[in-house]
This record gives sequence, structure tokens and C-alpha cells, in this order.
Amino acid sequence: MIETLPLVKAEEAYKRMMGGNARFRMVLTMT
Amino acid sequence: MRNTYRAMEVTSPGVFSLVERKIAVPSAGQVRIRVEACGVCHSDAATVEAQFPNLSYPRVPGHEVIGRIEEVGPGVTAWKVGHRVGVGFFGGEDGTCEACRRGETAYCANAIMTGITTDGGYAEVMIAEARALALIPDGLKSEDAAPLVCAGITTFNALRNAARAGDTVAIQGVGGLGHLGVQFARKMGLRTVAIGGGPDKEHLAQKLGAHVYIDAKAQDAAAALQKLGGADVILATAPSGAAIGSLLPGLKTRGKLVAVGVSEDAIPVNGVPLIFGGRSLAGSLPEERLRLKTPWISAYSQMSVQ
Repeated sequence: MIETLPLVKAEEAYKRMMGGNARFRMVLTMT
Repeated sequence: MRNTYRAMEVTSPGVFSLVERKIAVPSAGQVRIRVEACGVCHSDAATVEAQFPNLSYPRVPGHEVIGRIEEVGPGVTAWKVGHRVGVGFFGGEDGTCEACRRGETAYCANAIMTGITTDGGYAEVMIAEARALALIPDGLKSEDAAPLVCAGITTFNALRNAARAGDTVAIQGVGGLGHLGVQFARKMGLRTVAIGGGPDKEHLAQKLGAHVYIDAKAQDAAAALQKLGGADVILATAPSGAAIGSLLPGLKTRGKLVAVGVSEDAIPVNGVPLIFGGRSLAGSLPEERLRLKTPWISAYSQMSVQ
């Protein structure tokens, strides 16, 4: 189970993960 | 084709910067990958927060990388342009240190660490060592495959090495690692106990396959495990040393507490249940590291883990 965000939002994805808020794995996409 | 690509660098601790970089040619033994997806792992903090000693910036984090090979360097015979591959944390062994000479390349003393000692997958393009790649089977979407090359292989191998069908296994934490651990445990034929902090994860844990859910905030998780007869194995995924240490008395005699979530605080261990129960606390790395055709990735697909 993943949540995707585009590469430009890497910081947001990282912060969601570190905050324990990812459901359940953040994945960056390049397209 | 553009001769540049976008990458998300960390330029100093905590600071991300989107940059345009020139596309490089892979050296001998390397490939260049057009990245399709990259998972975000708690261990990325090693790069982002400068937790890794002597880290040099700028550095591109990311070690759950899936992409297609677009150029192979000299001497690379196993891989061709167009292959879809995965790159995990372990970016390649030196082949000469003592661990490598024992055949334990996963513990290489001078391993390349993707996204830490070399640039990782928070980018449209990445250079990787051919010897560290895994082939990604068709039918698995790149974004779904990304967490498998770190979180997936970590939990899968820890369970496979420590538990046997029929064992009672507790997965501590129902997060980025634990949600995979619960699913693997159930599909491996283990009596699966999920341990979460609060009542909100109970429904999810059961949906993922847990037979029993323990709310560690509402009760003593180790005592609750003992009420179930004790755990043969506890897989500790949540990054809290204090929480991990408190679970040790929940093991059966000779049981094993396996830590895979890296915590900043120390793991306190009470010697009485440790010694008088013959229990053990161990760390686990994916010992069967990514290989050319990694059987666990196929197993993962067949197990329909999500």
C-alpha cells in the first residue's frame, strides 16, 4: 500500500514519512 | 533526448534542492537507469539529517529505486538496455574485505550505500553498479515494486530466516515496514500477531491478515503475548529502542526478537528474561540481497502482498 507524489514534492513525501503519516509507504514518481 | 535530468539533492542537513544535472556515461561495471519510481525510507534520514558520518553534500537520497536501463557501461554482460531493474540500499560489495571473502557480501565493510555514499533515486536518472541490480518481473507496477527492494526484502528475509510455518510471530509496528511484515507473516503460514500503538490500527492489521491485534498503549504488549503462549519470533519494525526492548519478555523460551527498524535511542535489554529464557535479540539485514532474478520478488507478486 503506497502513496505517490511527484519528484518535486520529495520534501513533502519525506516529511510525511518521518512524521509517521505515510499510508504506508511514500513513493516518488518521475513522470 | 535532453542531456540533463532533474534530481532532488540534499545540499546541507534538512535542505532539499531541485537541480538540473548533466547526464553521465556509466563507467565499467555500471549502468545508467531512467528512474520510474523511488520509495521514501526512514533510512533516508541518514542522508537528509546527516546521520551518516562523513557524508558529503550535495547528495541525492533514495534507495528504493525502480527504473529502466538506458545505457550499460563496459564489461556489463548480464543486463541490456530496456531491462526494468531495482536498486536497494546495498549498492555493491567491494569483493575483497573479510566479510566478502566469507561470502557474506551483505555485510561488506566497504559497501556502496545507495543514496548515502553515491547518488540515489530521488532523480530522473541514476548510475548504479550492475552487480547490485534485481530484475523486476512484468506485471508489477514500478511504484508498487519500489518499496519491495528495501522494506519488502527486509521484512521478508527476516521472517523467512527466523520463523517456520506454525510459529507465533508478532510484528511490532503497523507502518512502512510492519504493514508488509504482517502480510508476509500471514501468507507464510505463521500465527500472526500485530502490535500497534493505539486502537486505530486494529481494523487495518486484521485486514492485512493479523489473527490477533495488541494495542501496546492500552496494555503491556509482552504480557499480552505471554497470554497467547508467547511469541517464537517478534519482528520489531517501529523505530523506538525503548518499545523494542520492552517486548523481549513476550517471547517464548529460546524465542528471538529481530530488530529491523533503526532507532535513535538505545534498545534496553533486561538480562533476566534474556538469560533465563535463552532468548535472543538480533539485528537483521536482507542477507539474500538483491540478485539477478530475485525469487522473493516473484514470491511477493504471487503472495499478492500490497
